[in-house]
Amino acid sequence: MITVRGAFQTKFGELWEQSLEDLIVEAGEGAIKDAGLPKNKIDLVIVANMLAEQNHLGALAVQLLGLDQVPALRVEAACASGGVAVSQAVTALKAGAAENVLVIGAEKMTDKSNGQIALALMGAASEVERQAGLTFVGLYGLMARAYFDRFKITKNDLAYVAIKNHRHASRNPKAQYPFPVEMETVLKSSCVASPLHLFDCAPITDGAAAVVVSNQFGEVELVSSQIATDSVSLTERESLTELKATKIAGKKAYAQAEVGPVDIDLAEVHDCFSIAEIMAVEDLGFCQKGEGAETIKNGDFDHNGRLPVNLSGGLKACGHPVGATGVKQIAEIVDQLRGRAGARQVKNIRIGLTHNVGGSGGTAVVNILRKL
Amino acid sequence: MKSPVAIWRRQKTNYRNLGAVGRVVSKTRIIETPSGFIGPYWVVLVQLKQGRTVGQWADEAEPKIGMKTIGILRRIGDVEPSEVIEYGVKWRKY
Repeated sequence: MITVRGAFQTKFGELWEQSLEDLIVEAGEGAIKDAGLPKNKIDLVIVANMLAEQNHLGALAVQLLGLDQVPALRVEAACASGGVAVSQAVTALKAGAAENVLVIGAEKMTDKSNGQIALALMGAASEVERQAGLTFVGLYGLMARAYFDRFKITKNDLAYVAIKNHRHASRNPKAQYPFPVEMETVLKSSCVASPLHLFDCAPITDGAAAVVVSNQFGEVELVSSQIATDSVSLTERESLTELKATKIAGKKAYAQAEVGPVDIDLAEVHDCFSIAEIMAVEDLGFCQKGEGAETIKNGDFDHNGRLPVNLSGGLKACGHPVGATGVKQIAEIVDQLRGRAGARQVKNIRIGLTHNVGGSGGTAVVNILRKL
Repeated sequence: MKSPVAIWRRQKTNYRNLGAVGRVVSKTRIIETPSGFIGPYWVVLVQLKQGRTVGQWADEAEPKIGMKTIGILRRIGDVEPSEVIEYGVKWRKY
């Protein structure tokens, strides 16, 4: 059995007083303390990070946390770095290479200008996409336009994603934007890459999260952890209105956990842009294809809906420190399943799902967690 | 700084779609540009016989979904005075 024994998330936001090293220490120590383990019980460290110019982050984390001379490594899979890192921890545990793995996702983004961040994120795209002057907002803008044409939705429909996730974030003190927004604010925000406006986009965020994944007994079981890949370039995809990697990772995760979409009580999905959440809830089977926007608008994925989605505020309002996001999603579900999510706690829950995407869909990770 | 060697190497692929004719299947207007580009500008996803490609729109007319388009030679991005100018394919109405 694989369990998540400890989980911790730092505040997300523009953390000008904290360096990447500070974030690693706060998250790592928080998760170890939460796990109730002495430091010498950690026998593998995996650091998820995408953008740091500081290399050798595995060994650096071990040094900063004062751990024994344990193996350590860095995992990079664009914005899916965190999800992939947790999945690698599971592989190590199943292989018998470790008993308690500390997975830290950390990212420091606000030390760079917006243009530098846009360029750095495009490192996760293809050469032809970089040459076209695309940004990640632009890549999802291309998908949104194709989705608009196929399913006849509008910018107003996208706005409900931001409104829901901001409403959820208003209950989360660790969120970057813990306040609700109105439809007018979303629609009147400036255009970043058409048809996506500022409030369709996750922000630039500093933050970290950490979990201790273990083969010892715990309160929350990590029932399945599955990764799938697809072409890095949008031009090579079969469809512009779904992420095949999400569908495959989801299908494999449901099969491994022996559950289906109807069994999921709550989920954290990768809403880097509003259109991404709409595609995610469809690709994960939470609603029919083409009905994502309408289902969100109807409140099905609200705090008191049939399947609460992104109770943390999601990437949109809790924040998106890219390499840390996949770990934070797991920490959020663990908090919910352990009944310690404060004002955003939902009752009578047993099974949670996380969905983490790298690039414009080149990698997808789906994890399913169950309360023991 | 862009590597002159990388630009030289990309000549083999940069002009692959020069003169190719296809149709616009999606589009986005980039307002917030990455470093090295001056905006705003349109980027179009083009369906060719041999598959899809993506590139900047280089026509005064706004691109429309379904519009027939042709690949033309244009300068790619912005450069510092000491950097090599890179050329590649952009798209206009056909």
